[in-house]
Amino acid sequence: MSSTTSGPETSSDPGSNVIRKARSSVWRGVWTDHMGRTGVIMLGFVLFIILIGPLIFPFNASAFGSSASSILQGPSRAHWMGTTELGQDVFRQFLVGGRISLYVGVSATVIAILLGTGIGLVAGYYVGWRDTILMRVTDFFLVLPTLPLIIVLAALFGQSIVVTSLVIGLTSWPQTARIIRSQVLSLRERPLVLRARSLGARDVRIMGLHILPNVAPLIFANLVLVLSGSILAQAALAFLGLGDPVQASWGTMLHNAFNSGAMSEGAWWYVLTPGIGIVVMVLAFSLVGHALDRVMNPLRRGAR
Amino acid sequence: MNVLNVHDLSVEYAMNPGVLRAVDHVSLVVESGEAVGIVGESGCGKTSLGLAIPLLLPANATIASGSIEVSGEQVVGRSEVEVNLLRWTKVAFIFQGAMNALNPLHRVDAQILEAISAHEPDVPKAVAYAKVVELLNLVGIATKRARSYPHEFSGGMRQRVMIAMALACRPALLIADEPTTALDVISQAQILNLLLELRRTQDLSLVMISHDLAAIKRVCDRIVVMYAGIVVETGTTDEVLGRSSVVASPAHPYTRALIQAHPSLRRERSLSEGLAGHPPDLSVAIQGCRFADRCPDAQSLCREVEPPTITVSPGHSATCHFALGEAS
Repeated sequence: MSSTTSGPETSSDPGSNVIRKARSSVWRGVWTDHMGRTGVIMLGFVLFIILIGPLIFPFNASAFGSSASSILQGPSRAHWMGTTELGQDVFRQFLVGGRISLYVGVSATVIAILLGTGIGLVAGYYVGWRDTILMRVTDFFLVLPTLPLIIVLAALFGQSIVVTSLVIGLTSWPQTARIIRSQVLSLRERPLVLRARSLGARDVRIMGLHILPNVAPLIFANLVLVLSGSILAQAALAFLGLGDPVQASWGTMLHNAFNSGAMSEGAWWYVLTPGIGIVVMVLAFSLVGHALDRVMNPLRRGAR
Repeated sequence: MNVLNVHDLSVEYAMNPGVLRAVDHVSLVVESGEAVGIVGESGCGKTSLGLAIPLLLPANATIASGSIEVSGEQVVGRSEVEVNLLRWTKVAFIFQGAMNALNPLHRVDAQILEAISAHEPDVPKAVAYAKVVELLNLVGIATKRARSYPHEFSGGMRQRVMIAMALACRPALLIADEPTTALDVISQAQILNLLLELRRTQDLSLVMISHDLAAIKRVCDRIVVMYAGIVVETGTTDEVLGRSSVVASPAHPYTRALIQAHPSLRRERSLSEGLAGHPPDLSVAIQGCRFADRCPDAQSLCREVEPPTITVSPGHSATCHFALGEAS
């Protein structure tokens, strides 16, 4: 804070100070954790290159190679990571493709977590018929063979990245719903809910203020799992040829590499570049997620 | 005026199948400024009675008969919104396991503030916060600890926070369900002293539910002994449990057994005598006296005829055929 602005408003309002302090302590907790720090560095690196990279090295999808000699070239000064079967630059395509992978992973996760949390919360809080109906629906989604279903849905509804996000999101929520519900079932019996009820709190307030924050660490831990899963699911779909052919993700690059025989040609740069990208991104999210879970769970906060 | 007037109250739990009558035609009067203790074993209906007064029974429980008046206002049959106006302002409560009634993710001052602003939404935040600090100081928690999380407090301190919260809206009556259970003896003594002091300084009436006779004896003027959903004996604490100058004269064998089972510093050193068995299953009808199966003095009369409530002396009565020594 600058020295001049510490007026009476800032010093007399404890709220904003506390929130700022809490945020910095979460950050410090993650940073002091070995896994957390590794994850943050990896994540920062990945995000940096896929968000900033394409601005510096724009990818021109129509810049095909001009001659047969420019196809599946190894790394060179002109093409840092070699070229594709069409003579395109692997490195530049890699930078753009990461954005697609991240976009699909994040939006699928948002859908899955919102659905899973909402359904788990309602089912666990209102035991009875609402719980029964919601849990049977959850069971139904849980036993569906997810990957074949995603393949069928993706084939049915087209291959745009919006459809892919929706399809992955709508099939990844049941585990979250189940976990949240089981925790809510235990929380709703605690005296703190009785106290809130006696204060006149309505169901929505009890769920939002007293139960949801208490399951937040679980949601976080789950979010990371779902996020990793979504990125991998998207890569799998794209590898199987169900990705958006116009907006090539890392999975699509692997698909193209495989189809063009890059593996047997020994064009390792074409396979390894997107492959390592996927691994590093998923691993970074996992590491940060585990560290966040450790820091944000208030019951584990003391035992650092 | 009586701050609490419970008349002929019955509470039933829906079982599968049938019903379980946990509180059976119980009447209870608390006068202004009075402290009444409710004692009895686990499963005798103490907590059900306590939760029924502010209408906070679980969803599978119903009030089958009777009336509850809090500060002259009928509670039974009122809507949730109407009862909300009475809760905390007329009658406040400390729940069983109250230390777990705090949300672990919110600071304690915020949680007391919630109680105040829920009932007095017009009070400006700064005024309400000043009141929070005042309440915490009242129960012996320093101002600088107000912004702590519940897990940073000991059990006794959390219990104090709950007491502070209960006092937030200046209730006339406080119902404390097992306020000292799960605390160590030092904290127990501190909480009891606090309750005694608050009674005096805050003009508070108290219903204290406990199985700890020593705690009840220390705090309460009058005692109600419950067994299997009914009141088996009621009288002044002096009459029922005795005090240094008054010799105890419990009239019901169950009360005698409770006192026997409780270790005392003054009494001869001996192993406390337990009471064999457990309270009867309330989901099946009982013939005769409910205590007959465990009573050392039970006669054939006890197993056949339900005992009347006999007045031993003014204000002291017991539900036993032999309350006056011989069959009546």
